[in-house]
Amino acid sequence: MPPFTAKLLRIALPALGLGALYLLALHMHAQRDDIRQAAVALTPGCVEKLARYDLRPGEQYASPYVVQRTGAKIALRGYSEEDVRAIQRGCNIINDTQGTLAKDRGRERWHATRFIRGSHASCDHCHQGIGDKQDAAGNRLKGSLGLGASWVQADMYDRFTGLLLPYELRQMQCYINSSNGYKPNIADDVIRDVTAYSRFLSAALDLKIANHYEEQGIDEIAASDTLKQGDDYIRGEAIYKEKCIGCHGAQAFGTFANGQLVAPALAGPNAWNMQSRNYFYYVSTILPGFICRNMPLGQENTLTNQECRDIAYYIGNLPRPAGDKQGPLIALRQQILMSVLPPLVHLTHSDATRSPQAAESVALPESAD
Amino acid sequence: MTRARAATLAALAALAGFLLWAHLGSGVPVFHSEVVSEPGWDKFRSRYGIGHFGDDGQFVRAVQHGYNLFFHTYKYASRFTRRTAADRVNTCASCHTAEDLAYAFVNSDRFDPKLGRRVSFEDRVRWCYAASVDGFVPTIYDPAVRDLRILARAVAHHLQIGEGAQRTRN
Repeated sequence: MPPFTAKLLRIALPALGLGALYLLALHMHAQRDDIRQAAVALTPGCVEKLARYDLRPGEQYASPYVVQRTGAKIALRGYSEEDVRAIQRGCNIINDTQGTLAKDRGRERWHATRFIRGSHASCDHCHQGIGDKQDAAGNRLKGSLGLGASWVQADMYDRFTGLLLPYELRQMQCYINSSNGYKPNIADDVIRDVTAYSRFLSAALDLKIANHYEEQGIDEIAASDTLKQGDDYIRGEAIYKEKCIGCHGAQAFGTFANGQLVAPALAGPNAWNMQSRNYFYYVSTILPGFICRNMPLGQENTLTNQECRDIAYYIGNLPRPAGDKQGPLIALRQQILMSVLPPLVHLTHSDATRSPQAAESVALPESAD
Repeated sequence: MTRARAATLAALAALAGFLLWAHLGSGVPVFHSEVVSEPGWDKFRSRYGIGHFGDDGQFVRAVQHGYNLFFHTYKYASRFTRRTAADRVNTCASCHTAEDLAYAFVNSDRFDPKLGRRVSFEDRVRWCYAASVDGFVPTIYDPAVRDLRILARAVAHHLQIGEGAQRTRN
């Protein structure tokens, strides 16, 4: 090959490669714009939630919830059609992160599963009521991880990370630890749409910036909030078998009914990892608080503080994935534990009659979800 | 004492000397966590009830840094502006009030038909650095952006406004 041709090829090939990447980026941007412009197919839960708060395009917005609760009609800035679609997409992501109800998971959920390991995690599992859990009378519930209240309290000092934690960064942590997955970019639509939905919730519920509301975060339960009998694995296992096993399964691997996830995994490869705040040995007050205020579904606030701590302690001792920062050795140890322990437990427990490896499929009452 | 050991000790002494100088004597903000108290801060703090968030703490320091950025932009965000003390428009406060900032914050992250995209509060701040004070665009994570957002939050809390609040002008 003549030297001139070789030199030309050395320049032209990288230039063509870069050009191809640029064209691909343009194509993907155009695809994202298409999705942003497209009408949103809401999940049944979001249809109900957003209709209740009367979300629609307009110059002004007044929340029916606020009118009903206070009698005052507060006129807030309205939402454009684009804003409404962003809020709708955010609601869908919270309610059905993995897109099991979507016709096209990728398009309708911004490929949110890119950021999640496993098939179980959905934001709604922890942020119940699609991030806005209320009782029948419309009262927001203490320690229910309300997203609107979280948004107005964002940017405060976070004792776990030592950061003034922005709302977007908090979402990233959920993807990394609670979903045992990967970090989306701060400007990714999957983050921004959830922020838009959370901000809308705060408007619909008339929440003021930086005020503390009871539904924000977890109502943590420390050992000092108990009779100090100590957290007990045996007691925790017994209560788990009585109260939790029906939904979460014999080894807490979660349950499916009719191909749909009914209750998420609390242990095993589909569960939160060892750097999640739900992990008892990382933070011992959060999971008990979540259990006491949010579990069992329909019977919230019926367990005692000690029972919640015992259950959390039991769950904390079940095998789960290592966190990303814990290194390959702990990751390997956890993988071995997740592979070896379930069959052993299956063999030794007389009531473990189903396959422990896969998510268990059980007949569940309608109220279980 | 061998030559190598002497060199090691000299290097360690130089490092320790640098750290002491940086922390105690340099006056460079990046080397210490305290925020410089600029004139007017105490009045601002009292007027907008910053004490609600505590006498001191990470959040309060961020608010104070936000105050410094807002009222002394050319001094505290000198990396992101070409404006100097000699210019007429050289701070955020040259164009905006603290209340403006709070209302902009609660009305941010909305679709802008002129730009054809959703615009966050941080986007607006970065735009101001680039255009209004003739400078450069900070990253979204930079304290020069974050602390203005936190200042806006603190003022919004004092005004007791929430998402989408509209300003009523008398």
